[in-house]
Amino acid sequence: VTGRGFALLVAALCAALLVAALGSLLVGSAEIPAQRTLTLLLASGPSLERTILLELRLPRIVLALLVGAGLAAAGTAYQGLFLNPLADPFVIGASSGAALGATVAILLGGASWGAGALPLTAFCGSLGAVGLVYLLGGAAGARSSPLSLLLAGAAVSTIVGSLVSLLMILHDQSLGVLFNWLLGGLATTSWREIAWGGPMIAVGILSVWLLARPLDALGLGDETAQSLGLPVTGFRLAIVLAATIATAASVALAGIIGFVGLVAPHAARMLVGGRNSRLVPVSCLLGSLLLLLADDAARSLVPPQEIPVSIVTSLVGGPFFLFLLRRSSRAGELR
Amino acid sequence: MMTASRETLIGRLIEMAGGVNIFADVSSRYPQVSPEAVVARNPDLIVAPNHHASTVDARALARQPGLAGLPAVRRGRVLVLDGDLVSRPGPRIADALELLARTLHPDLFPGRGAPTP
Repeated sequence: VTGRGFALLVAALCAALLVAALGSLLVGSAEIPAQRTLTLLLASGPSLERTILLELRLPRIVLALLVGAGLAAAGTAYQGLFLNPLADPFVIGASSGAALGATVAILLGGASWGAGALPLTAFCGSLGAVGLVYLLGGAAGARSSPLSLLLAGAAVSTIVGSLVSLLMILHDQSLGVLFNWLLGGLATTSWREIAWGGPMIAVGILSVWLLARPLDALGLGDETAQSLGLPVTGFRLAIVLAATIATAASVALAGIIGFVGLVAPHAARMLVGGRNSRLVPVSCLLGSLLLLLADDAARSLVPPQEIPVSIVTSLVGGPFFLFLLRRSSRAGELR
Repeated sequence: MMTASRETLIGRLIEMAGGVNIFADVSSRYPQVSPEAVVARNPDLIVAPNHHASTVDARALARQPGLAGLPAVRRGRVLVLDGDLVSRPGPRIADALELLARTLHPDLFPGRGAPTP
């Protein structure tokens, strides 16, 4: 793709995102006619319809954009770092760590601690699990490899996941609350949560983007990267940290939402190729768009009920991913 | 957020106490409903059971996004019931029914104060 083509693509995606975001204001189980929406937004004074637009729909839209982009950026980083097309934002324990953090908090009575408590403990659990993986995987040592990190991630995820299951079995009264949290969703988002979680996601995304060139070099393999003069260990830590912050904040705000972080980077790679400085922004835009549309479906398909958004992303993302897979294997792009 | 529809113990209690469940039309027994549906249907009274780890209190409920603006919340029409009374099909269910009916129709209960649980 030429520079001009890339600029056009980014502009087109931004325009699509803007249209989708505005359109999402009109979507929901409460029927508010489109022509009244504008008057309601401009009007002053409280009304229930205005509450629905400004306190319920708008924060969901903003959150979908943030979380979609955050998961996509993290997925891009992990896929590049591990040289593994199957890697996703949860590959090195971020989701199971978050689940454990939230589970422990709920069992200690966290539901009554206030709005920020669960996201915060989930965030800590996520960082803790990834930190453990990083230390145990030997990635801090001189002779580290992406593979050891990946394997340690799988092991720690399984152990932590079993702990969560064990806690759930032992405290079956809280099963409903826990299950709901784990399924994830954007429904009960407040501006206050976005105010502290949003900047964190943004910092994660921006850091991944700034690390795009080292990520390119790491993609050539450790030895090549080293011979290019790259301090491999340091940059690997920086990339893991950046991706984990984006993931942990996303999980903390919206629970565990699958497939966005796997599909968006692949779709982006087919559009703009493998250079990370281009891949990261396009992947983020696609991730936002995917999650936004998935949440529109989640909140409007069976009114007044809600479907957990992760079910929609998997149902939509899964077949789309298979389609991409078929196309690229036919074109002989997969090795 | 989860609620109880018509074909449930709690749904029946609401009807027997002379209340109208805003989600009586939903076919699932304990559906997850969207917050905006709650706001759009604008309940006169919000009833929440208090049980186990999920301690609901009226202030926490009012902190839920969007709910703070509801007339019911602003007028303090939030009733948090002992979950052991309302969620279990035992003899104490009569106490729950009385409490609900008293809150819904205080004018029909000349005696003062809440019933003893």
